[in-house]
Amino acid sequence: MMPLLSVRGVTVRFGGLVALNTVSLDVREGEIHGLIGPNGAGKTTLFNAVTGLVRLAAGQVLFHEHSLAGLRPAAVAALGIARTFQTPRVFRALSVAHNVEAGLHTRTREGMLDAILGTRVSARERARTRAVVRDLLAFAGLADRADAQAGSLALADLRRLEIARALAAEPRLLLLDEPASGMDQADMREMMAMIRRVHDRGLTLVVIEHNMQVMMRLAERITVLDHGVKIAEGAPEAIQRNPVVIEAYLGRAAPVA
Amino acid sequence: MSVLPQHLLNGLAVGSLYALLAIGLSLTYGVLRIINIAHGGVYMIGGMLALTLLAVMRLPPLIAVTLTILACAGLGVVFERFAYRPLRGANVIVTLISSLGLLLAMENLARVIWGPLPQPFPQFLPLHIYRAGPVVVTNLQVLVIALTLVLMAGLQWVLRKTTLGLATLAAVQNARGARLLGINIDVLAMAIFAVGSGLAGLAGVLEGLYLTSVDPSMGQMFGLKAFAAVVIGGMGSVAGTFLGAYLIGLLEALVAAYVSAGLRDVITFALLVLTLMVRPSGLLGRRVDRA
Amino acid sequence: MTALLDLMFGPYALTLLILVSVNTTLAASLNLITGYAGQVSIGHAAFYAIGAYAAGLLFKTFGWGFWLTLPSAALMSFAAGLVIGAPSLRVEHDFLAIVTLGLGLVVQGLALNLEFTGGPYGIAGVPRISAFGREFGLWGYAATGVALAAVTLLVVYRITRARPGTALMAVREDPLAAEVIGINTSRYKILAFATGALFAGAAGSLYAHYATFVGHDSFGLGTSIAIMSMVVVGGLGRLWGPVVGAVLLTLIPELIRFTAAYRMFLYGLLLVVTMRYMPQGLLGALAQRKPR
Repeated sequence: MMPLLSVRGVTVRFGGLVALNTVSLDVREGEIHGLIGPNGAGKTTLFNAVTGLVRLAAGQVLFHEHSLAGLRPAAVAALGIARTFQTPRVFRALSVAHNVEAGLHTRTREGMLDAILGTRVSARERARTRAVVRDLLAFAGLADRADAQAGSLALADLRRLEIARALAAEPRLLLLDEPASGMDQADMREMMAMIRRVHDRGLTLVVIEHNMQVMMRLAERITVLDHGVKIAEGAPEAIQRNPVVIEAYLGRAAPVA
Repeated sequence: MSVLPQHLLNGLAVGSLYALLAIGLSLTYGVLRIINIAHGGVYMIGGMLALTLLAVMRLPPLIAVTLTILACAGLGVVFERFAYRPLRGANVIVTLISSLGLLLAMENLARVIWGPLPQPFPQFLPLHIYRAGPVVVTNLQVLVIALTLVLMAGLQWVLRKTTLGLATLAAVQNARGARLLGINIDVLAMAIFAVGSGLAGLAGVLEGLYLTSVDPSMGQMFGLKAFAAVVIGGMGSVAGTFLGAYLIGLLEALVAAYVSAGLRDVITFALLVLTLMVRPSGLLGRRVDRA
Repeated sequence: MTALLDLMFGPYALTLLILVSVNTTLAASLNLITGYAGQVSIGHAAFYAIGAYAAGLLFKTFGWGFWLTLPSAALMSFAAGLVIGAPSLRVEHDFLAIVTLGLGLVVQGLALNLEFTGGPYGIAGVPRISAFGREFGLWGYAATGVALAAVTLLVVYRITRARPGTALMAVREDPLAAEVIGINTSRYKILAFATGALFAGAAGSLYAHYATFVGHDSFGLGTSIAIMSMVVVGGLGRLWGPVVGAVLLTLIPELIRFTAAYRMFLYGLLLVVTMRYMPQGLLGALAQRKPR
């Protein structure tokens, strides 16, 4: 079966530094794929490479057999790839609802002229938008704070908002960058539940996480990066016992178990 | 008939004036991220004040010039303390508007005090003319250029050898880092404005001597061109600022002589835009970290 | 009836109204670019200039009157916006401020120096607006000005409460995040510039047919910053901000006419003080007062 996302021999360089070195991995449709590695391994860089935020020095990324080469991030998003950031990048001055609405950009069609002239496209899209935003806010548990300024939310809520906004674009693939970092146990459990609910909606997920507890429970397969190189890949239990992986982590801080 | 070296000489003289003005702008922008449009106003006040001290109060030139420099330095410090410091960290638009407010205030106060028309500036230096081949050199030109070069060399020395100077260089490279190192930004800001504005005042006096007249509107365009010099030469680099200033001075002299006098202004600002589009860090600038 | 209205709204008041409406149009158009899309632009007078010169030149060349020059000037400014907005794709914030400042000065410099723009003498003899064979008086101009300002505000309103507006605001808040959720930030930045330019150009053509003269003097850095001041004083990114700002900053210099020579000096100080104590603008300050 064709993988949904295929990273093939991707190399990314920042000046003299090689952040990713001929990294290849496949993500199967419908799976939750984990991405781990010590700090600086290149995990976020891999996300950036997939979403078009950094240039590839070599290799290519295929989404659904569609090459993402040379596409700007907005085009990649339009194809159905969404992502979150380690520190949530929500639109702080806008309301929670408005943030989610922004996420609908690629799935709605009201243009400048439509808006100015108040065409029927406009009215129809506006109604649909309102409904979708309502649903997503409910899904994310933020319905009661729809009108609050996004900047006023706590970290856990910011993460949920970012996910809700990402879901608005109806992506097929969602890249989550350390969704559980900086959270206490209660929030973490809620986040994991939300991630599972997102998965239940039919999305394929790639999750970067340092928290092994979370990773073991969520991921079906895990890829391990170290210093920009893939050093292991497989089922969670195998990875946990893999001496190469343990070695890589022992050189830095041990993973939170 | 004017020859190429003549134009170049004139360009160097005007470039020197730009340089004196640009230094203040370079430091202010480099360390404090302030686009100080009001700086041209201080330059103008320098010229006008010197005019009064020399022509009306009949003070000896040396005293008049010194007082002018000190007054302008003081003015700069006042602006920093009351207009810019409260806005530290505010976005660029807010500081720009405030800066323009200061410039408007200065220009119009000057109009009230001295009238809107250009006034002849006391030529307290007797003019001597030398000839180097077909080129006519006045002692004034020599003075302006030499004085600027000396001051700039002196400034470079201060920047590299004194604590305050090193702190300034550090802050230009990385303002936040400088703060973390315990460098007192308030003192630094005051010093920068004092020195920059003092030099601007001196430039105003020199303009009066060199171009023989001063008027309340002389600051705006000049200040903007000096800013262009900073950008073209490279923000965050004092040497770059010099380079930019002299480059503009020379370029303008050449364009005015061989193309068209009017396009002289356009060329400078076109070069400014081009620099930012092609090489935002300027000729000698390094990537300056944001505060 | 007209006589009674004339008493209340004499020529002086009407002239002010014309000025205020032109300024409102300019400020509202800039608000779209800087307030909503977050693109710093301190060369907005360039679009105003292009509109005014377009009107003047179209008259000089083809003998066109206001009703033809208005849409033409607007379109030309729109095109200029596409070009002048391009730098926003490469630089941001401070650097963009400086680039737009430079571009504004280049446009003014060209207007001053090119032959076909009349050089330092500008373009004179631009006809007054006329309809049905009659030339507009102050009432006509005031009505036109108010209509232009109203249309501009309406368009900004419609844009900003809909999908394009959301996209612009996303670009303002976090261009990277906006891009990642599928918003083509380049397209929206350029669109913001071009749309803002369009209305500034329209204001320019109105000005040309009002003053019957187009000169480079009116379109310098001072004008650009004055327009920006109106947006900021009213409140960046707020729909009615430009109205508040234009009214305040057009009327206050008039109201303090009695201070005679010190008028502009005080105006300058006013700007400094306002930025010191109310950088978020009047509407911004009022919004902050409201309990959350």
